[in-house]
Amino acid sequence: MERPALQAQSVLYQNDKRALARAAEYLANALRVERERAGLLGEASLRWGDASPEPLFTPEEIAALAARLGGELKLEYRFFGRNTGSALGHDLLAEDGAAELLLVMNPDVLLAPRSLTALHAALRLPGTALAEARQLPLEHPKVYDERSLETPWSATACALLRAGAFREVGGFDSDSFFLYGDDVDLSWRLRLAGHILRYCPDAPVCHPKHLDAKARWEATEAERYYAAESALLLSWKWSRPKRLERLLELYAGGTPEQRAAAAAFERRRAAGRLPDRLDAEHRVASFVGWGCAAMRYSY
Amino acid sequence: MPEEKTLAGELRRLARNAEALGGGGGLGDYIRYLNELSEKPERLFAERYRPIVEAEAESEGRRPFLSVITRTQGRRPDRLRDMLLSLAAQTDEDFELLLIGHRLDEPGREELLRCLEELPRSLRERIRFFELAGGNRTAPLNLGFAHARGAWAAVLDDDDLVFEDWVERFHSAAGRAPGRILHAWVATQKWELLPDGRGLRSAAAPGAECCAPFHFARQLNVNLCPLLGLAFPTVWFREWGLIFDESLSTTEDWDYLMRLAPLAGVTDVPYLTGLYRLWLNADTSQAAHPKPEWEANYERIREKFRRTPMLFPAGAEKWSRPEPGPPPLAPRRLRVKDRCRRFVPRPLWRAARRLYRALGGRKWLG
Repeated sequence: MERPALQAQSVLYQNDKRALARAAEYLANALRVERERAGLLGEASLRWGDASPEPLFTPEEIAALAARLGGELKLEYRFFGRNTGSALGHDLLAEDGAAELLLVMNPDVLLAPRSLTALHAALRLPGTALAEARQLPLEHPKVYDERSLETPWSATACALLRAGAFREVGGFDSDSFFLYGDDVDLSWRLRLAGHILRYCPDAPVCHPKHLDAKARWEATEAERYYAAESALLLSWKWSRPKRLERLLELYAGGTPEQRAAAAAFERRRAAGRLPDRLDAEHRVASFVGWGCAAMRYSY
Repeated sequence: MPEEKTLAGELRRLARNAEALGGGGGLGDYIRYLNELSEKPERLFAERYRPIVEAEAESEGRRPFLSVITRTQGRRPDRLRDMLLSLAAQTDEDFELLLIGHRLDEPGREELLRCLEELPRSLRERIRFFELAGGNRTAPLNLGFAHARGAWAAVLDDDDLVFEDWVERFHSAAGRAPGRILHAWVATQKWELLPDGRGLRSAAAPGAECCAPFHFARQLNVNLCPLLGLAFPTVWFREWGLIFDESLSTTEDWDYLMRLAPLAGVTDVPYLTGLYRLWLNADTSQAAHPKPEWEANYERIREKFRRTPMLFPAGAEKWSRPEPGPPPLAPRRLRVKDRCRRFVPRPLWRAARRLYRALGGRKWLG
């Protein structure tokens, strides 16, 4: 049986180069462990798409880094020359790839030695199009089925996908989503097409995040804005007009970021730039409270 | 010939001076206690750990800022792998990891060696692995401290998690507080094992009960400082022979912290840098030791506190005052906001808030 090729990909934006090199080293190591333990993966490459204002790396630096990674993992670097955001950046990186498997990762994510093996094992289960890693030190608290490990949606901070399924549904919706909500939308379109998503508690990856001194989540201004924007766009696209109107009302008297997101949404609506509506029968999309899934707890 | 200026020499001089000034009193007691500590280290240190300390001092190995000590029995490799991964992500890599395999059985040893072999080289090169066949859970800590080449040492249990700035925050604080114990904030979080070995998952939001300044008086009653939030200057172990009490089978960390705190002082590092995982359905030290054993150790430590003269740091007076309640404004503001929202229709909320502010806010509502 032919072993599937793997393309890992990350969109860079002014990242710490040492952290990027470390992420590449941990991916190469996870590949080494997979080859020793299972040996089910074929050729592997890591594609970096750089959306920074100036290139982060010189060709010489990339060559030196590629040499350090050894022959197991081929390193490719592209400078986009514009800030694509995460969704468009990943679509551009995936569009001309030939690999059967896509590992979509945030650029600073570190894979545990056995995580790639575990993700691939989950992806081989019948009907599965996406296997999502468990993030450390702060795990995403969404509810999933603890027996089948099926999940209503998956974060793509680190997720292994069947490239065919990714292309079948058109990849990320980069026209609508810039930073957040793109993974929820992709998850629901995959499920609408009949695919299964699985969460992998046995595939830990380190995705650096922080809590404040009182153990509370402290969102940045940009995070608050894009979270508000994606909530509006998801409500629109996934046919929840009442929820959309309630959100717009709430945002009108809300934080500056919420007001800005509501104004941007109205401009988009007036210009006829909203995406087509999907899932009118509500078969896939599930909204719980103000979120997109039930949570075990919240930060 | 003048006496060499060492800590022990200075203490001897102080002891002589205290005697010359009358000898008795609290100062004399305290100096005699320090003198005894510095001149008569525990036999266990002299026999077992000093030779290791001396050998490490002569070795040519790297001298990092922080020695991280982890004891493990190799029985929970999934949790150890989590811990190692979180340690791998440190922004400040000036650390070494001393991994102490304690009372390993053959499967545990194999699992541990496999776990090490699977790590990327950059992390493997920072790790020194030791095996310890005997002793209780305190002995690996002393072995780790004896081998530590760092100026500070911290202990990570094999199921702890740290944030990426854990070493960096300690390092930065150490520059401002030479020689002091560093105390960072730690969140607690409930975790559980999924059925049929499917993995691990968090079960509740992180708690902030260990996110507070070091409070010497409160610490005398209960330990609120998980080990992973502390970094100890290693000089007290190396030079003074101040070791963990191996007669304690639990709460050895509380005892050590409270013996060292009056001597070294404690500097707060008010950032949340670690997660202390509380397991709902897995083996932990809580379950491994029966309640009477915990109580007996607790009483022994309290008895030690009673016998030891303690030097309280400046500012200790505030501990005698009643503790302040929560700030009165926050809940009141919430109530006012809620009241506004109850009586004003949603589209008018903004206008109502403006009016409320224009009329003087709380004063107007009384």
